[in-house]
Amino acid sequence: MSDEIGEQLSALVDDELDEVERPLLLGRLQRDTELREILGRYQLISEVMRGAGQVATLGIADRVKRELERNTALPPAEKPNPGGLGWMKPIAGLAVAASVALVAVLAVTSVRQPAVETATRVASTQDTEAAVGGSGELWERIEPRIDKRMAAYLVNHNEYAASRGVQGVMPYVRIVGYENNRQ
Amino acid sequence: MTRSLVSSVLALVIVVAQNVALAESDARQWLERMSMASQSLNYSGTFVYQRQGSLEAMRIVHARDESGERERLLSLTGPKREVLRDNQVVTCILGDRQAVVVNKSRPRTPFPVRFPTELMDLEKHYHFKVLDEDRVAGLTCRVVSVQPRDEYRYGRRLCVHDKSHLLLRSELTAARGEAIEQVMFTAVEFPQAIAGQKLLPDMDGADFTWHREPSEQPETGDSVADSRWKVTQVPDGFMLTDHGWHQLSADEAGVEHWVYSDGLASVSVYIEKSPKDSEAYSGVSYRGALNAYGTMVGGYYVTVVGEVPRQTVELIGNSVRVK
Repeated sequence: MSDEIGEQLSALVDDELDEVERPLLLGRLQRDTELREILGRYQLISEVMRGAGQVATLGIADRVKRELERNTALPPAEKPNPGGLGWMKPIAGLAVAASVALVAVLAVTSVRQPAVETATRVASTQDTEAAVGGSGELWERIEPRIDKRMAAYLVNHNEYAASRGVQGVMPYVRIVGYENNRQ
Repeated sequence: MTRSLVSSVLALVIVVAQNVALAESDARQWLERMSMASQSLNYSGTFVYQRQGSLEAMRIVHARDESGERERLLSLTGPKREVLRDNQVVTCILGDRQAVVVNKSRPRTPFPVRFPTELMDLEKHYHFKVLDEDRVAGLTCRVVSVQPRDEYRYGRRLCVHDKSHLLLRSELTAARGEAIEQVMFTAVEFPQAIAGQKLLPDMDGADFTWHREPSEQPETGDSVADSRWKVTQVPDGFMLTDHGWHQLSADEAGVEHWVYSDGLASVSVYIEKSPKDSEAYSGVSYRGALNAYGTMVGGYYVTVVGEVPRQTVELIGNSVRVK
């Protein structure tokens, strides 16, 4: 894989790959598991970036599937990669692009301040900042002794909450989800 | 002429009111179907969970057959964590903490919960709307908006699969519509049957520390009247739906548990005696849209946990009194 392939992947995600390059890349995707995994991760981020509430365009996975179905005649096999090093640079480049994309997503949609502040006594109940949790202690940063108790409460509460009402997210997602901001 | 004008305006108002009522009824039908689908379908898929400062990928496998529901949820990014749930127990295997937490599971009640009171007047506290179609994970879904009428509860923007009614994307929002956290499938399938092997954990947790909820629970009475505590204030629309005592872990003392619900959101109040050497504490912590408020009252820990805004857990926590 080369930088050119990386650029072609980006163009494919943006639906801007030209008619000559597209069948070549699709053929390669069909044969190359690792490349498909990279594309999958890129698609996942792309889907998240599009965000909720917006009109979704055709996903990259759909486009690839559609194209593969349409292109019955695949291009001839390309030469094998000369070595592992050739993979490194484009993957790293894509990873950087993905990281930048993630930062962009989180910068736009995050409404809480991850900064730690000492837990203090109640703000006013009319405090609109508090409505979105503008302050407080991130769960993972509270004392281990309290955290142990909280973990038991969280599992127990999930069962009660899931047995009634409509959950905003699937039960237990918050337990399985790992906190990247852990310090 | 004037009478005719009044009649016309009145007719218009009635038509508008009927349309609003129909729209809200339609939205609640989507929610009812969605609630049923999440429990009755076989499905497996990958999804992303986004909350403040983090984005995680997870996989869920859910099976429903004559023996009941079985579910497996596992992390695909970060440390290995899995939650397995069946009709008897919930098992949380936390690879990063070398711990396993086992609790009893509770039967799920499809929405709407049949509370015997005015709790079903959800429209007093939320606006319901059915919006446009969208696509998630390659599937067409219908957007349903549930927006709170005050700042004591969160809103939801849901995208419900038009065929299966599975929830494909969910966004929790604050009172002004700001997103707090979201879950979105990136791929999902609905197999006829799910092999038992797909519901087994990757980790057996044999070397981990196990925290089991004892099967025998403390005999301390079951009614609110038996309690020496009272919760004196909850936001309008929240009602007591469950009350009891649990021993959540064999090495822990019992905890008294109160559950309040407004029909959509639930809040738990936990009260347990603090160790003699423990220090007083007070404050809010959060995980995604889940807020917890802790304080001490008369040598007892009072902890309020719920998928509600911070001010709600604070309000309830600060209203706990000894009878």
